[in-house]
Amino acid sequence: MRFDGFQLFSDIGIFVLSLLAAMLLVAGLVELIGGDALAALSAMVEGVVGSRQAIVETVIEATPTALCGLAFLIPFKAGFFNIGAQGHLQLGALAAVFVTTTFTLPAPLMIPLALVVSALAGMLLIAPSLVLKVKRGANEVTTTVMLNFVAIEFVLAMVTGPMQQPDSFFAESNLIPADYRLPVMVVHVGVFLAVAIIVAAGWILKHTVFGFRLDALGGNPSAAGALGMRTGATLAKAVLVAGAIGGIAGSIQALSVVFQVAEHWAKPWGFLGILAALMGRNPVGVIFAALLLAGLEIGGRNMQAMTGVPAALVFLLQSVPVLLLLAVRSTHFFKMMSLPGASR
Amino acid sequence: MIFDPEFLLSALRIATPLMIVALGVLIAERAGVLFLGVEGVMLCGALFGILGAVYTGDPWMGMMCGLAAGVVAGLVSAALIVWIPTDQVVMGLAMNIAAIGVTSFIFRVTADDLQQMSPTIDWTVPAWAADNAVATFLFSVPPLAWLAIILYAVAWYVLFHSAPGLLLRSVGQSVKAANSAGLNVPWVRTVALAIAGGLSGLGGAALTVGWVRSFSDDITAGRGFIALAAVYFGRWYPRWTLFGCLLFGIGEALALRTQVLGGNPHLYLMIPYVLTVCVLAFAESGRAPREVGKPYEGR
Repeated sequence: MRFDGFQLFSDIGIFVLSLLAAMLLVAGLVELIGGDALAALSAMVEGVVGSRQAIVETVIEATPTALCGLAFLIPFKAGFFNIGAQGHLQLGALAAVFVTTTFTLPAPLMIPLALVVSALAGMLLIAPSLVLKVKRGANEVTTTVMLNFVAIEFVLAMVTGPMQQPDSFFAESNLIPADYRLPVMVVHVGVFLAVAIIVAAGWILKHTVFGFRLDALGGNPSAAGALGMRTGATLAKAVLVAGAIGGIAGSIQALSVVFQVAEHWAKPWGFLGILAALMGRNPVGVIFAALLLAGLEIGGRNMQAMTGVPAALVFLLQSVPVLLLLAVRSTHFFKMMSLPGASR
Repeated sequence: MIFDPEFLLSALRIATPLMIVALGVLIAERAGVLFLGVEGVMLCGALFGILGAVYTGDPWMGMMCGLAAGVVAGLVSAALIVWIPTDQVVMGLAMNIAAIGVTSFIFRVTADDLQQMSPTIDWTVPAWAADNAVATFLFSVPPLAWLAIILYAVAWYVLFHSAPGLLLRSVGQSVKAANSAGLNVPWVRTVALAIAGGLSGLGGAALTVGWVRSFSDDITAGRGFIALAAVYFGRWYPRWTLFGCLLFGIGEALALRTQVLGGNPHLYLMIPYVLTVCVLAFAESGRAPREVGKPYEGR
């Protein structure tokens, strides 16, 4: 246990140092273009924790990132790189919008139905990657990236075609009826749902046989198979769950924030989720990493509004800590990949 | 008539940046590096290409700037994923996001001068060829497309018919064997990534200087990933990769012509991706360079 505590401490330490290094880099760049680094950074912090509204915005922004992070993390435990969360999110949102704008049901039935359908959409999209990986040995990184594009183009085809809002000049779908939108209690209910999913996933990964099997599979697939584990079935469960979570991330966003799908409606939550998963490394850690990434995003917007410093720097603040973190951690990173038990 | 020379030329124009970038990806993958950071490297090339072209007034200088930026970015990738080493997939993805930040920032800082378009690459059909349809077509193929095709021929020869190419492929196939044969695996991969980065940067510059003639945030919009798809589509062979790039070009050119064809443009844009997945499904496995994606820790 002492080893675990030390590991956690050093991880957090490395992370804080990486974040500080990234902030110094950004401050230097701001000074370089003749801005006031202190004002820019304080505007950024104020944009995140300055007001109640700012905190609410940060939490809402973090939700899809955290879920996408979980969608990366679960198959990652089993050695499957799911880069496709962005596509699952897009397709899930499209499915939720389709169900809610096409059919009429009482809201307590409709909202769960929309969530289930979006989860199915996400699973449908990830299924080819899984089948090709297991049956044909095709690299899942490539197939999930390709299916991302398929999903994005499909969504665009839908919102410029059959699902386009009548009389609208823009590529956008109908708005979800007000009855079917997720209720708001300080933040929308989707946030609580997301937290529940993530905490449940954390418990399952840590305390069940399934979680242990995932670790075993990620650590050494041939050993897991030789010990009589049904590796294909375990991997399939993990991957399909990831697709479902990605889809739900999209539908939560559609049902509670954007209320429609349109051209460029989605931010790169799927990719930020991967960063969050790499920073957090376990479901609860993913929540905090997602909050941090979302905070940087919201704070960056405020920084641009208040001081005119380009918000593009936020991408640096989001990615440089991860780059440094990975670089520093890499010496023991792969040892932990092969001995997942040691990472606990 | 949809498949007229004009259509082929437009497909070729769209495919040119992809072809150059895909060649870079192919070389990296043949050396056993999964080059997911290609999108970011391409973006750097695109930005510095346009900066060079605008500030020097010469599009070819712009291409050289894109190439140089790509080599630098490729070496940075090499430092991170070969020398440290970190995981190639996650590092590539993180680098892509970092590249969006860096390029957007540099573009903002230098944007005052960049409202102007980059100079065009002068290229006209000579008078003596104007009578012959075939000659006219050949001469109206943009010079960058010719450059890309020549690069493919060179790469094919070097990779498959020369000693350095064999070394590079052996590193991608089995690091253990390469290592015991006395090869310095990290150095081979570093050189491969420098070349791959240079080509990706050149491809990015071909996108901005040679085609769009301006820069905007995240202008590559997934083209690096498309190049990656073309390489997988081509089963790591230059000629089939070239064919894959042309297929993507044709898909996009069809999407531009949907007013004539009917149908939804985005469905045409979807075709090449679906085809790539199908190729991955039906192609025999085991053809890929075996070491792709695995970090080399043998030092």
